[in-house]
Amino acid sequence: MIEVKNVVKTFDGFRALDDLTMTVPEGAIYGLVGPNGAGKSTIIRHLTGIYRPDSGQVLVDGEGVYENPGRKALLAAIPDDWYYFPSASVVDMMRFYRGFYPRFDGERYEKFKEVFSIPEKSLIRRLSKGMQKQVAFWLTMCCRPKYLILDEPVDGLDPVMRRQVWSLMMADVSEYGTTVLVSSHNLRELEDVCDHVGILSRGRVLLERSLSDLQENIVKLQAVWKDQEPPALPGDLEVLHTSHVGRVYTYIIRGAARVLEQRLAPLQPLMLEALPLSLEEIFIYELGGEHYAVKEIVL
Amino acid sequence: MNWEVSTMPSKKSYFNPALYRKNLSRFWPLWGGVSLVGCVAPLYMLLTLLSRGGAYIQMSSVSSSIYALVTILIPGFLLVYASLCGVLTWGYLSNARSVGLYHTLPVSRTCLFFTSLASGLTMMLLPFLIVGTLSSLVLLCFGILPLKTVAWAAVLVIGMCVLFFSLITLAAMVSGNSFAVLAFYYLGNFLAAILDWLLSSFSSGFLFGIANSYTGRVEFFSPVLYIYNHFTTYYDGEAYQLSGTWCIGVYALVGIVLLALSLLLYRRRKSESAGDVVAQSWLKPIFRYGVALLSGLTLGQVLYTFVYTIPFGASRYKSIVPMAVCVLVTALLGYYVASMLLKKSLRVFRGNWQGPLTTAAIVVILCGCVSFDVFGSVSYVPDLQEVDDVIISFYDRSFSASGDSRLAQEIAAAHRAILKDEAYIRSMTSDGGYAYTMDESGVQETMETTLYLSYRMKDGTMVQRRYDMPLVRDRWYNQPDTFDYLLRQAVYGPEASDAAVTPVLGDTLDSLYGEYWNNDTGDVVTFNLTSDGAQRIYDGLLADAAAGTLYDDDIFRYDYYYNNGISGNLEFSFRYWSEETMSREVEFVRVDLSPTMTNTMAALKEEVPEWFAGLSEASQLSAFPDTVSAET
Repeated sequence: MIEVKNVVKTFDGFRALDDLTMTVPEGAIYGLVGPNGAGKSTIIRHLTGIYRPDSGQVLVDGEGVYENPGRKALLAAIPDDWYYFPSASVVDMMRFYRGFYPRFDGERYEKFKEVFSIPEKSLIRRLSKGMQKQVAFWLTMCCRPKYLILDEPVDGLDPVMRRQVWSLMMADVSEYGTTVLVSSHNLRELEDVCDHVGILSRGRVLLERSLSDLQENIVKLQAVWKDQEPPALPGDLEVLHTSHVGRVYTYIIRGAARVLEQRLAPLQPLMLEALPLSLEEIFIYELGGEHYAVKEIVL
Repeated sequence: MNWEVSTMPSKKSYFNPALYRKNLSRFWPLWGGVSLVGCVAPLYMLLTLLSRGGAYIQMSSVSSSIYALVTILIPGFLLVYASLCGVLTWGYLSNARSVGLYHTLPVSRTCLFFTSLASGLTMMLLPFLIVGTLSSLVLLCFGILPLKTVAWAAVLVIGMCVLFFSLITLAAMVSGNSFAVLAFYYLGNFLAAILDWLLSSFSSGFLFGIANSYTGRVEFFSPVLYIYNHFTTYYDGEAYQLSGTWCIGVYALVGIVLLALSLLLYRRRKSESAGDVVAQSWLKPIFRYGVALLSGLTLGQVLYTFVYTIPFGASRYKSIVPMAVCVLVTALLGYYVASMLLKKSLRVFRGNWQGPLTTAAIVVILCGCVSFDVFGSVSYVPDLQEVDDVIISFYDRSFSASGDSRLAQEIAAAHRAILKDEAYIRSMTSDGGYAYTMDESGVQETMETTLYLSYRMKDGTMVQRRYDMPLVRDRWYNQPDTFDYLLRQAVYGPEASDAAVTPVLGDTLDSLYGEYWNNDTGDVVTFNLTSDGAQRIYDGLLADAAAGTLYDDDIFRYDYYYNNGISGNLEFSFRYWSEETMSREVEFVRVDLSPTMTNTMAALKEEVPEWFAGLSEASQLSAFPDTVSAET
């Protein structure tokens, strides 16, 4: 498990992380979402042991990760600006990684040659940005990390390769129990793969839940009433939003779908249907107060 | 899956072979290229030996060549080569992306440090290993390999490598920008000497007698200069030997200490400092005010020249207020430039009044300290018990006197008299020029000259003074309490004469080498005398010294330098055994011929008749009035 407790980080007076607390459960695929400048890359650099927090703790399996080779060996990361030696080929970088990560899997490296179809002797600097990203995935996955930390991982990849990369990652999660933390400024991208989500804004985690918790706790109900005017809903329901098109009313209500359907049945709607909310919609309604943050991550 | 067991590396890992190999393979063009260029040396050696059949080359001459390389070529080469190796090895700290990769790796910073250090030192030593091995093989084939010399040279090269690589390592730990690393490294190698010279130059503008010269007091902190000045070769009569090897040993130890300091700094260093000019936050104020001070001392003096000296005329001493203003302006300039470098922004002016105020306070304190001589430098005359020797240079005379000699006491007395008359001297010279005056009969009454004093202290430091002073003929000859009179006593008196002709260590006169001007041919003629001939002329010299006729002390005479056509010099060689170097050494006694040296010239006329023949008739008559007129 990765735990971040009350981490503060300041750069020249600017508080990049402001008492940030988050928890990534073991075996989860944790999506870290936030607008540009929210602190995603900064917290990732703390998680990988690059930065030392001004205060607070960054723990991996209960131990601080900064200057802790034992804990860092459990992690592998792909930053948004992955570094390779200017004169290095794929195989050169593979040898370099192999020299540091004790679990580096040579067989896997050979197997992935076919997946990525990049000549291993080609100079990385001569590859396109998308291909460089593939190389980063290729090598990082071969490190067989317990925790895989990805910062904007699929930027620059074509749709086919995105799918390929996600599927490889998911396979690792199911087969080896790998924990994945993936950051993105785009919520839609994470919706299909994450089971936990945390939203960052101005150096703080605004909300952190499992996707199932979120989806079970908020419902979009569409109802058609007999009369022109809709009946008053029970007062104890937490209605987050109401809209209508003609006589079709749409309610966003906090609560489980089945319970809410039972509560509204006595009002005798002509039609009542519970619809799933997209992650995007959930955040819009959950974080109504943080307009900027929500707008930035869903647009 | 048991992650702990399979992933936990040793916590005490100090070395990573993958990184070591990677560094050497990445940077092979540097060390490979240097090795390749260096291989010209063994090739040249081989071809030379083959062409000569190895017959005429002695092992001792090979040794002296190796020592010459180690003392002359290698320190300068290592200064530059270490900077290149260091910038490449530690270059990853200057780039945010690479620092991200390195610090994500499952190794500690200690491991990264030692591995990078090992690869950097290997890169430094590899060319020496390759070139040294090939050269040794060539010499071995011809049977002239001085094994002891080679081993000793290798130790010294390793010592210097440790020193210079530790310096570039320290520079890399305090800066996050490769250009700044190089700037810090080269500045660090010369900073002490630069500051020494700058402060001397600045002080000499205000303080009476303070010489505008490099004192070398803190030269140890400028390693490359110190090595060049103290790590040399000497000839012991049989072969060349090294002297000052201790300083390489001390510097190597200092290098190890600096490496330990660098490791501490690296462990404290923030990864986000990659790209910053100064990577350690506690160093930032030092950098800011250091740049301000350097800028004030250098550019301030330049600005003073342009805005004050040139428009208002030069003077021996500078005016404190205009100088302080110039220093303040340029110090503030330096302060803001340093702030811009630190912030990587031009917006450093707003809301920052403490820094400029502190800079102004520093400038005021500096100028105040110098102007009011708070350290008492002006009035300081060294205690002769602490003086090894004192070197005096005045008008046409320059000689040294041992600290315990009576002559040194005379010099010190004259020095004190000069200080007593500071107001008088400054008033006479402050307008930038001093007129030479003559009396009604055309005899010069006053003149101006410069006195240089260098006290070499027993602790190895130097106290140097320079006095531009007026001299008055009447004081020079007739007023015993004046500095003029005491100077004449010290420079032209019997003690000075005796010191000028008496060797300090030499006990056996070996030979005499002389030069004189031949009036007939217009050439400079040289001659050599040994044993008896040299001794007879030297006896004449001693007789002149005893009779007080060695020097002409009438420096006010307009034809002082004309010397009635008698021009030349004598150089006596004295041998002695040196316990310090365990070898035979030579000491020279040099004197210029003067028309007052009647005894010397008489001996010279006997021993070197062609000298007398080469004089003009007027000169012959002037030098030997009785003899020449009788012969005529």
